Amino acid sequence: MKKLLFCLVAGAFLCSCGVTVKSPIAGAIFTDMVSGNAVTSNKLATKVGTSTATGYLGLIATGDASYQTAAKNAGITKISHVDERNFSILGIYTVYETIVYGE
Amino acid sequence: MKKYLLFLLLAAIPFVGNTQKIHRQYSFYPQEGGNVYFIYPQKVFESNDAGALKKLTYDITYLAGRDSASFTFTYYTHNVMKIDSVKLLSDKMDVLFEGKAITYFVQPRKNYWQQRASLTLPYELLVKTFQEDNSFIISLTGKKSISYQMKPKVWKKQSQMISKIFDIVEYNN
Repeated sequence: MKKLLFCLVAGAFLCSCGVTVKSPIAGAIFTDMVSGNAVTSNKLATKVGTSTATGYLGLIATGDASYQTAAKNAGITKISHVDERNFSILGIYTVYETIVYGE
Repeated sequence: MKKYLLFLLLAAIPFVGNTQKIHRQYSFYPQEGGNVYFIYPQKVFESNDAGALKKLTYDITYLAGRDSASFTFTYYTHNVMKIDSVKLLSDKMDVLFEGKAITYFVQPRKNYWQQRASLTLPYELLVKTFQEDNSFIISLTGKKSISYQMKPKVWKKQSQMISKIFDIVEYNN
């Protein structure tokens, strides 16, 4: 039973090593970066909204990192541009955040 | 193999320890008509009220040059609780500010409700509030009311961090 448990945990850990958060540059050990995602012709940004998805062990991923949710979270009706934030520790814990600017 | 895994874990520790660095807590977008500063969502306010669930998460948006800032927050309750107004109170229960809340949405989750609303308040007041020694209280009022406050240790870190961001806003304008 102990061996089985060890195999499951080790398997999950090793699987996660190959999985990092979606990012222009992904670090196997650590990733923490912000990058551009999209831009529109609307220039003005007076509001900012975020939406987040989280992953665990490279096996489970939950959340809603959509533009729609980020815009909804700030009451944005006209999007100016969108950034993304990527965070990962060994692929064990990963966060993907969408940041929408607009008015 | 064990040594390799241990090395990876140890290598990640310095980065993990630095995750609260201030540049990761806000964004700054320069534009015509005033720079936009955004303090990323902070999950720090807690409530003892039976109807409240989870922590209240807040974020702040400030358009440089304006007198007011947006204090936007998400709160979770067992039953729907649409609010009309928000009060900011000092730890001695003095009213610092009272304003009308704009509800962005009310939506069901598994067995609770998620609500998001925004309060526009004077920027100077917000700056002063985060300079206090003790956490202010957020009182959400609808048909019922729920109050949230930060724990002293959390407040100490949070007030220092937010005040530093407000300093950055001042230096760049």
